[in-house]
Formats: sequence, C-alpha cells, structure tokens
Amino acid sequence: MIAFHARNIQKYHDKRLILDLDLHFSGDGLHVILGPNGCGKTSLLRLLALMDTPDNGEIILSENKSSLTHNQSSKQRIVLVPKPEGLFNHSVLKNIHYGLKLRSTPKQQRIQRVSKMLEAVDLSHLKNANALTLSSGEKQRLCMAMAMAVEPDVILLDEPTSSLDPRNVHQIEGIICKMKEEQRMIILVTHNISQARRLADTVTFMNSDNTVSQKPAKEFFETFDRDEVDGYL
Amino acid sequence: MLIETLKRALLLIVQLDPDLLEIVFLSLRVTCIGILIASVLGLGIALLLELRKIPGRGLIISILNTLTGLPPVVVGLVLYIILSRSGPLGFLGLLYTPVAMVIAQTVLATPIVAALSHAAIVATGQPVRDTALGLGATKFQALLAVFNDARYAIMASIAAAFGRVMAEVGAVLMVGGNIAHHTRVMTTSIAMEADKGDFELAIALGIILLSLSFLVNAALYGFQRMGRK
Repeated sequence: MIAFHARNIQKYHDKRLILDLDLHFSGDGLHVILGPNGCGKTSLLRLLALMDTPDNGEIILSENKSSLTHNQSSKQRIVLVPKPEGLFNHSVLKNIHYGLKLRSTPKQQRIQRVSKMLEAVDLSHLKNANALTLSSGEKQRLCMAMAMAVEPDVILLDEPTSSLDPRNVHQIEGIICKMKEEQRMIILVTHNISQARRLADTVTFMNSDNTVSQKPAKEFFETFDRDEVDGYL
Repeated sequence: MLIETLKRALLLIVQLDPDLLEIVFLSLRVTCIGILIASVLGLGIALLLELRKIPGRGLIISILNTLTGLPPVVVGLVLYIILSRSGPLGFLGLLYTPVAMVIAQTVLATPIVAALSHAAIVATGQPVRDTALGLGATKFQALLAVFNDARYAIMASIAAAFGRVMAEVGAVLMVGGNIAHHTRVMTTSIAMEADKGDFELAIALGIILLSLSFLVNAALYGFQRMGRK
C-alpha cells in the first residue's frame, strides 16, 4: 500500500502562499480532508496526484517502507477522479476507456472492465451517449467509473457530491463505500461534515493558517470543538 | 438582359464548360494545398504555445490575433517584393506561378488556424487536461487529449480559414498575375470578366464560389454544433 509523506511542502499561487504543511497519509480506508475554502485542499490533492510539484519541500512516496520514485508508473497508481467539467467530448464508453488505454490494457480486458464499471455506476443504458449530454449526477458517476476502471492503489476525490441532489449524493457515497471495500486508499476532500462522519476512517483538518490536525475519525468527532468546525465550514 | 445572362451562365455550369472547370479546379487546388500547409503550421503553432511556456507568449498570441485580419493586398505586396526578380527569393522564379499563390494563401490562413485553434484549446483545455493528467497521462498525452477534445473547434477554424482564402482576390492577383490557363482562379477571373463586360463566365463563377462558400459555412456550423455543448 502506497503511503504519502508531504514533508514541509509549500505551494505558491501568484506569489501568494497557499499551502505550507507537513502531513502523512498511510493505510487503506477513507481519509477525509476538511477545511475552509482557500486553505489549499485542492492544491494538496494535485500534489498528491503528482500532477503538480511543490515549490518547496517534497512529497515522499513509499511502499512497505521503501521509497518510490515519482515516475510514470507510480503516477498511474494514483488517480484523481475527474471533475464533470473535464469530461471528454466523446461517448460514455470512450471516456471510461481512456485511462485503460493510457495503461495499454489489452482490448478484451478493457471491454470487460468498462462493461463492469458501467454496471457499477448504473450507466449501461447510456454507454453510447455523449458524456457532455448527461445530467450532473450521471456525469459524476461517470467520473467515478473512469477512475475505478484503472484499479488504482490510491483514489483522490475533490468534493464529488458538492452540486448533487440527495439521491445522487446517496448513490455516489454508495460507490465510494464499494471502493473502500476493495481496500484502496481513498482521500476525499469535502465540506460536508455529516458525509465525513458517515464515511471517514481518519480526518485531516486544514486551517487557513496552514495548521493541520490529523486524527482517527472517531477521535476527531469526539474531541474537535463543534463551534470551531462550524465556524470554518 | 439580366435573365438571359443568368441563363447563359447556368448553361456554362450545366454543360461543364472546360474553361470554367479549369478555373474552378485550379482555385480548389491552390486553396486546398494552401489550407493543408496552413493547418499543419497553424496547429503546430497552437501546440507549441500550449506545450511550452514560451517567453512572450502573450505577445505572440496578440500578434497572431492581429495577423488574422491581415489585408490580402498587403500580403500580396510583401510577397511580390520578396518573389520578384530583384527580391531576396527572386532566383526561385516563383512569381506568377500557382506556387506563389499557394504561399500567399498559406500566409493568410496560418494565423487564422493558429489563433482560432489556440483560443478553442484555451477555452476548454484546462479541465480536460486535468482529467487526463489525473488519470495518469503524461503532459504530452494530456495535450493530445485537449486537441482531440477540441477537434470540432479546430475543424471549424480550418473551415473558416478555407472560406476566407478561397474568396480572397488581392494577394493571388498580385503574386499570380491572373494568367490564362496558368494562374487564373475564380476570384481573379470574376474581377477580369466583369471589367471586360463578359458577365456570363463571371456570374457562373460567382454562383460556384457562392455555393462553395455555402458548403464551407454549413460545415463550419456543423462543426460548431458538434463542439462542446
């Protein structure tokens, strides 16, 4: 299982410091990141996905206590679930095939995997539809399928239910629970405290002043000052 | 009188008049080759602008946008000076040849393809690029995904450039010279026949030019509709 150590990382945006922290993620299960807008949660996810590099400090990847280099093969084991606005202007099928093609998965295996994913996210009936014509909930489910299809070790999710109705939130959370059962590491950024309560194994709370607290979920919700959390979120 | 001329013009088209066909095919040949080269160059420029953080990128984009409105006669004049016998490339003997016309159309079309394609990529590029990178693509693969996603807008930019250069008269007249059976194309021929008072051929060519323009615009509309919703 891959572990992340973000060691004294700093990230600037237009000369403004948006991230300055030191934290650790290890073990399977669901790690929730909470925090107010602008505290750098999305930037952190991009750094963990190896899409960006920190301006200072480093992201150390390790597996069974030996370090992993930041090469393409490590990168392909960590997936950031796409945002609905980033779906390709192609059919639902082609969108799910994309990640598998990047990994040169044999065609037969690809077809089987895609068909399994379509069923898992209940989009089989829309497989030939253009992804951009789907509803918000369907788009989000497709995004989940695109990530799950490549069977990554780590799945990073950035507010996957932020603009969905309760029915779709329930469906997406169901898919996340299925991912958990597959013993992957899942890192979820959310603003939804009750969602964090329902799903989290650990909680990382990021403040705007770059202080961070990381705790097991049970301990976090027992000890964290409710007013303080409400004040931020 | 007008009806009679129109009838004779239509007859020229229906009878597939050899002179008329020669002019139409040369026009299409010159424009298609020009657009093909401009597409390669224009997409190459758009790719470079996105692939590398080139210093002065903003300035290059502004210059490209300015060049989309290049006056054809100015392009014709500059190329005339360069290609004329006493010009720096005079030794190539290209002036008053179809090759010179292809060069003129390429110069006019390249900034259009580059600027419009680049604008389309920038408009929708970042989220698509993030999707590709997030799923494990390399930077180059992510850029290809962005180009693939913008394919309809890119085709629309090529169609727009095709429409512009096909209807252009100033540059091809200056560097082509409108020589019969050699560099005479639809636009230069229409201007000359109208000058001569021979409206049959001018109108016949006008109808064909208009029809081609309609087809190009229909394609443009189709590509735009197929683009991002």
